Amino acid sequence: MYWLSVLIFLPVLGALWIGVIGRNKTDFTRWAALAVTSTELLIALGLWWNAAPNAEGYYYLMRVPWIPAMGIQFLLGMDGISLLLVLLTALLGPVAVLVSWHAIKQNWSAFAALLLATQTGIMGVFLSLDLVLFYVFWELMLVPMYFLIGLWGHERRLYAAYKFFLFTLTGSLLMLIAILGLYFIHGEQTGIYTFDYFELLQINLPGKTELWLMLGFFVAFAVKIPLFPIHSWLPDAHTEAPTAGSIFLAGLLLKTGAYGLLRFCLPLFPEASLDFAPIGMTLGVIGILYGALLALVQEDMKRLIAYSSISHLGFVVFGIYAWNQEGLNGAVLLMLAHGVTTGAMFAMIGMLQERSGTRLLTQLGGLLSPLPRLASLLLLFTLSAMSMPGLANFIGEFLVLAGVFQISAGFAFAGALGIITGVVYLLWMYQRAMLGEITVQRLWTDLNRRETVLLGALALAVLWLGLYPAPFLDNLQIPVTALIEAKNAVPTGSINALR
Amino acid sequence: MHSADLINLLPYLLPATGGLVILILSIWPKRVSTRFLSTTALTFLLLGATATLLWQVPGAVGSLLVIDEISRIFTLFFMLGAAAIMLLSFGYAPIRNELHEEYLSLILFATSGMALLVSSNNLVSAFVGLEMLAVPLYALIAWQPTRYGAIEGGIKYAVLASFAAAFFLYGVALAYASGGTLDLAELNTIASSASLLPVAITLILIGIGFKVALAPFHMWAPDIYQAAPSPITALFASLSKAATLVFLIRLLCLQLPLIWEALLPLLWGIALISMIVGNLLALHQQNLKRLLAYSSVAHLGYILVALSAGNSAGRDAAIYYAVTLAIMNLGVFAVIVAFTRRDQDRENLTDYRGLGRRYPVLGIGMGICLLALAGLPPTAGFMAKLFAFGAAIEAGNVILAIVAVINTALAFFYYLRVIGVLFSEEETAVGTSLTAQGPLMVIIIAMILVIGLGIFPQWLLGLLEPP
Repeated sequence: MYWLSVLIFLPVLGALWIGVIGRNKTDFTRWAALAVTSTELLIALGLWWNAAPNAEGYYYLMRVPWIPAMGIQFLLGMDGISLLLVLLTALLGPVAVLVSWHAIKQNWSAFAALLLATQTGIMGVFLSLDLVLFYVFWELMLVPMYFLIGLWGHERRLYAAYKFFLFTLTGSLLMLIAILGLYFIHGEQTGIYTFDYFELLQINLPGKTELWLMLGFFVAFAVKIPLFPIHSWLPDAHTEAPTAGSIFLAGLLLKTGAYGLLRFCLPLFPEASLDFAPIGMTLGVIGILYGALLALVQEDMKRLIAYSSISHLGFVVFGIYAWNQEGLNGAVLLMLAHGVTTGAMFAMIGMLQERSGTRLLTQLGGLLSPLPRLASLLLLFTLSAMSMPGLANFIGEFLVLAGVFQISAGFAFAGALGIITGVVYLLWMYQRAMLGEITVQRLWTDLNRRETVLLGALALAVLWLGLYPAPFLDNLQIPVTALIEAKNAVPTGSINALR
Repeated sequence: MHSADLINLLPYLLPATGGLVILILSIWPKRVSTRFLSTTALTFLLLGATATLLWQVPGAVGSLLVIDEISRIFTLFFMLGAAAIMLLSFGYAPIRNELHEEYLSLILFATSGMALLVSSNNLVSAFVGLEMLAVPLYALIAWQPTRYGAIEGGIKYAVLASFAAAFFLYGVALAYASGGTLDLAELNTIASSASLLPVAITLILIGIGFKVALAPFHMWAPDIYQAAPSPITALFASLSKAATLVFLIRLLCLQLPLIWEALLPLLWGIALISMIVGNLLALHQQNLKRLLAYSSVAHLGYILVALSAGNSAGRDAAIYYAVTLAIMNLGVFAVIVAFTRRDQDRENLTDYRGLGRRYPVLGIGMGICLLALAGLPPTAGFMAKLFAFGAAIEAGNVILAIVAVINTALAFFYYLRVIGVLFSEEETAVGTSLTAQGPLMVIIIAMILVIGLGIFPQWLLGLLEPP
């Protein structure tokens, strides 16, 4: 299906188009970028509409030889999980463009080109099923993001950009070693040297090797998610990035890590992953509580949301390593919900900053009366972020906790504590920013039409995910069942080796 | 001598003849314009490049030279590369008025030396090629002797290169002592019984190590990189290193596989030291040319990672790496040439502040070449690293591969620093306006090749496959 490659290459072609002819034509580039990202969204929706799964649950597959000598192919595939994440990526594209409309003051064409190039990288990550191709896109999305942070970011942008790049790069290079190891072991076993995901699924690894290879992949994904000891790039990168960059970082880049766990770590190394699951869940729960506790004491709104992302992604890891129906479904839904909600939160913080010139909670206050529309929409997203029933995050977190509860009640309890802390810091943030006495007297302008439209679209998505998640869950049925089958196929003797 | 031999010899003869012709033009009674001279030089190079296409492979000239796909590709590449070096020289302001006949003829002689080196099948012809390459470089490095450090650089290079040549010759002598022949194919037949041969090849390896600046023989590199005019730095940083490397690959992998196997631990050690030393020294370097010198020490280390795998994948990876490294370096130096001031290079990184914003094509070209050097997909630099590390893992050198990967991450730090400076918001005073077309052409071609070879590596690999 060549539509998958259209999905990947449309943004980068758009980026070239804008980069080449868009210099000093700010208005034109804005509309061109919006047109490209909207087309992308329409294509993604069209693919969703026409999706019909094959036996393995793949809606679309595309296979073209690339470097036959090494067994590298241009192999793209879309199953339920990738479909949902592609939809999220396509949705956040126009949002990021609209948010930057007036916020980016200089060099709009370069900015738009980099934004679109990032989108290409992320799409590629979600669609590639050849490990080298996956790695290519995995690193490709870093570079434009590095420049987005480094050139258009806030005060300490260069430091943040370096930190972001070097952290993620070190992790992914270790993954490259693991990919090559997998390739050669498979080649020696079967005589077929290939990076094809479907072929590699058949591999039979000795225990120690499997563990090391799994760790190679896990480190790369753990940096991106990010899990507890290697998370420190995230608050800096999110805080210093321009609004659109924060939306892509929190909404999409973090998801690529969790997606990698689902797509590669669990199915390729089921035995090692099962042994590792308790450690994974522990790291998840540390992330949940640590992120939540640090979010409590942040003054900077962006930093607060960044730490809350660590907390929410901890839930996702929690659900993935619970490795049952509820946990996996919940993890993917939470990824979607977090993408939409956090994207909207970052967008609104950007709007607040444009109006007030600050993100510090100490300098804000009482904005409910001058900015009623902004305040009420912010309330909606805040409620969603603290998993209010009926809104997006609730379903995901509820399912994750239900899944974890079957494994261990203690872990579930700790996770629930994280939700409670979440309610505290989010409500407190809302109260300090929107309620109370107004501190600054100036001419406030409420949301204009552009901002209302983009936030309205995100609000609809939040409501849809919260009220009627069935269409999304339907897509997950086959992939999740396959993952659970992979777990059940593990010989029982080896379970509990680490518990 | 048959006529076929003559055709085979053409690519070696043409540049050398071109050099002589230009020297004769210099004693012509009437003054010959630089434009005419440069056209003549470029014509000879292009003719030489075309002549390689006439080769019937595989072939040989006596027992001295072997003509196969590797020598064809690299000879072609060196001819075009030398043409690029000339284009760079014409656009390089500090020596613009010093481009006499000798300069062009020295480049032509060096080119035929490189062509000779990559197709040598005999240690003597290799030595001749090596010296034909080295001697013109002594003079070229010290070109326009009034420049600060020019003489110092020239002498330093001359002393160290002769030192290396001495090692090389000593190795050649020992090889003769052990086998009674200098022909590589014959040496291979006695390789299993001659106990002196590994020692001889080790000495040759040390000589080559000096020439390509492998650690621990790298001390000269930063000084000479800095002292030479930038087009000449490009010449020996990319083309001459590639030529010497290809000879090493031919010597070890194609002709003397037994010795290769015996030397694997040594290659392993040199690879490790080169990567670590090169990257650590480059980390805080503030001078762009010195930074590139250290980074290329590290890159030679990665190539040895591939060679120390001791398998055919490692050989192919090393060849691919040698080509792409040469192209990437050429691209970077083309930008340095383009940004040069009227009287001297911009050396400190601070002198490059904001230039990428002002000249987007050059800035993006530099950015792409630097990211390729760092090894970012989908550039050729990534594929080279993928093949090299893959070969190492296939051979079971997992530790070396992991060290190489950590070094790669380290290297990103300093390459990104350069890019960050290029696109920073503050600007240094630009100085002269940039008008030269030659460097611009070179950088654009390098950029296309770096990305093209990254996306379609089989363009190159397919040519190397035996039919």
